[in-house]
Amino acid sequence: MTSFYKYLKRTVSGSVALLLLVALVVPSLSHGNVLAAQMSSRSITMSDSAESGGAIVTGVGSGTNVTYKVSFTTSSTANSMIVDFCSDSPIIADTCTAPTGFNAGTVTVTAVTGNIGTTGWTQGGGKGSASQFAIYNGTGTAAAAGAQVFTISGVTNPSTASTSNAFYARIYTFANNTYGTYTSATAPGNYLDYGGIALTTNQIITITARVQETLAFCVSGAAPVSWTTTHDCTDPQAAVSPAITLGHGSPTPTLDQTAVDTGTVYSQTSTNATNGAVISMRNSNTTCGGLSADGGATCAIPAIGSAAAAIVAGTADFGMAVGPSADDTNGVGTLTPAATYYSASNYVFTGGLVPLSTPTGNTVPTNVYYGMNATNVESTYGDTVASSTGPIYRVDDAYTFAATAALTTPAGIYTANMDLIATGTF
Amino acid sequence: MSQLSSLIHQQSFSWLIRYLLLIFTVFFVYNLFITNVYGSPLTSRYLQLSSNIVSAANVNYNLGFDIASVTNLGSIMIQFCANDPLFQDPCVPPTGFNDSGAVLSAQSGQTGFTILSPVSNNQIILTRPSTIDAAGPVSYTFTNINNPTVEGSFFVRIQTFSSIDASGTAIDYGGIAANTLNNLSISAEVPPFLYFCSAIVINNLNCNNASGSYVNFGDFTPTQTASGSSDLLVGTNGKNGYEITVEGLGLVSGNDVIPSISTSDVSRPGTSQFGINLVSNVSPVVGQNPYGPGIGIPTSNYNKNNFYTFNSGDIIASSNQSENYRLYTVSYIVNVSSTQPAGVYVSTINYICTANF
Repeated sequence: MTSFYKYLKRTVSGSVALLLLVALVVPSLSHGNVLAAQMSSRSITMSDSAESGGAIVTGVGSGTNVTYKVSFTTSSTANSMIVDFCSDSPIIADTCTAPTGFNAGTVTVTAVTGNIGTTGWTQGGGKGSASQFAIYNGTGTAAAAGAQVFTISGVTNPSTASTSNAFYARIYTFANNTYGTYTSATAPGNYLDYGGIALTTNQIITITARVQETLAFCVSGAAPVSWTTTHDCTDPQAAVSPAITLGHGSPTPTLDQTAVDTGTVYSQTSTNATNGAVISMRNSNTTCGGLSADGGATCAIPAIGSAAAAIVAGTADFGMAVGPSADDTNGVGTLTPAATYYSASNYVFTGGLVPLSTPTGNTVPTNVYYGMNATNVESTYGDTVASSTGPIYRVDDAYTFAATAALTTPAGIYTANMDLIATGTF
Repeated sequence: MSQLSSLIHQQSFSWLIRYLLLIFTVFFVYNLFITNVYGSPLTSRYLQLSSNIVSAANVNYNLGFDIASVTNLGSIMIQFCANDPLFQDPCVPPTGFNDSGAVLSAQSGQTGFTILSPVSNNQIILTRPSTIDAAGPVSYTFTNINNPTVEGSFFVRIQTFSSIDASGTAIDYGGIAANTLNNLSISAEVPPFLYFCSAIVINNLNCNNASGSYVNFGDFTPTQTASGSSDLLVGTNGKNGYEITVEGLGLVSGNDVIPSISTSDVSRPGTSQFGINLVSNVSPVVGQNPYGPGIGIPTSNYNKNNFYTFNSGDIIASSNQSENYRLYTVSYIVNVSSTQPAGVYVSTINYICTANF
């Protein structure tokens, strides 16, 4: 019994060994080349995995003019090579159906590593088609065993009409430069090294971003330093009424000849206008440009003029000064004050950019110069008071209006509706 | 058999033509409506407003941009939208905005345009016979547009067309952001002024520099005129000017009186008389003419050099319009006769200034 068991065991073991030997030898025989070896480190990197024939017809996402970087490592010296592209399988000698819409028939080859694609290697030689890339060493150097890396440019990926995103490449190398006995993908002949690679096309990711023209401009009676909620025109403090009453004394502040009275409003400007923004000022008193007590017919408190100058108490004048702008939180850019409304040597506040940095109780120094170009503020689109040369974001400005009355200034309620207008040039 | 083959070939050729025609049509339509609807961007785009005040009416809009493409230009479509400047999106009209009464008041660059009727509340189409244009700046000014009634941003969409009615493929396009605000009002009250003071001396036309209130003539003698002076400073914004009135009894000492000069007269030493004027004099040397930026003048009886008078209640100086600082110097002269009773003669004189607003 024991002997029969041992006999049976030897017989089975021998049969298994024989089957393994047959399994190893027969495939090699069927490939026609007992020296063939599978390539290692095989890959094809695509510069664009989109399907061709889609909505995008050129460039990335079009699936056209794609570059394939082909890499593999061989174990034998080769003088010709074929890459078959198939839609059905990467298995050597299996049925190969050309991928729909695929075209590698008119490509440019460039060597990266190894000799394939160098001078003397030529495409064609009786092989090559839309789904087959073939190249042979005519007058160049044979591709020695080792890493082979080259690029194929100008490939058209399988199209949207393909039933599957997957497609495959089959690579074979041959000892001679006439592709050995290769006749077709199903009868590749006596190749040396071989390998299959799977590739796939994908839906492209379309990213759409819209940047529209923007212009945010607001005028507030509260200094931007107090805009602590959002720091922009949506801040509750930005909605504080910018109405100004010029004067001193109580209960009703009045203008007289003894003082120059001031009041300040603030603006913030943000725009993506390529050519910048202009802040213009227009006076509702379109016939006199100053402060009027008769609805704009006359301005007994006139505009001080187009050159920045001091307002002298007792000499009726109305003017405005705008200082250098300041960037609010995360702000970017600068609004440059116009010369009529800003004299650097006569806009000196203790502690920096007061009144922008002082929320209340602004004390305006007596040395500040003011301007008010009557002709321009009366004009249809007003007088430029500040401007930028490019996009700006959260740029704050302070506009200090000042007036004094002469002894002869007729009694009355003087008003002006000043219109600060922001215009972006996009 | 050959006829059948020929027929097959003819049918194939016919289908091929149809197929190619279909491909061409699809390609054309795709290019027409998908790839080239918006053309090229217009550059240097701006919109100037004559007023950016919320709800302002009859506002001027000056729209400018640079033409990018040199081609036939027949119409320009301008849309005003509350939501965004992007043509791909529906245009939501800005609340309260109305351009239906807009008038094209000026145009430069590419000209010859008129507004195509009808005009919706937020869209204007400029039209002209389609004419080849040139690259460069253009501007179009519209009047009589009503601003949005909501504060904040609104947007303009501009498209140019070869057609005369903004149909077909757009040539160029561009967006603009604009902004409306609430009003910035500035008010100031100037109260009625009457600036008036009297003193022996008032320097620098400033009542803060006034000093003295007592004129001392010293001892009177029949042979020499006693004199003195005091100053009055006045200013007012009363549009009808002011009047300065003198009130007083002349010089008295108990029951004794130095008579006031009721009718303008010169100084007569040896004759009891008291009088004043508001000008410079040489007989005696006293006083000075009014000065200061104001324009007021003494009334005639008090405005003669070397002539004096004094009548309580007289208006001694006036102006018929608002007065900047004006300084009057009042000259006083006193003569006594040899029979004038001895005594200490005094007078209290009030100067009253009344402004006429």
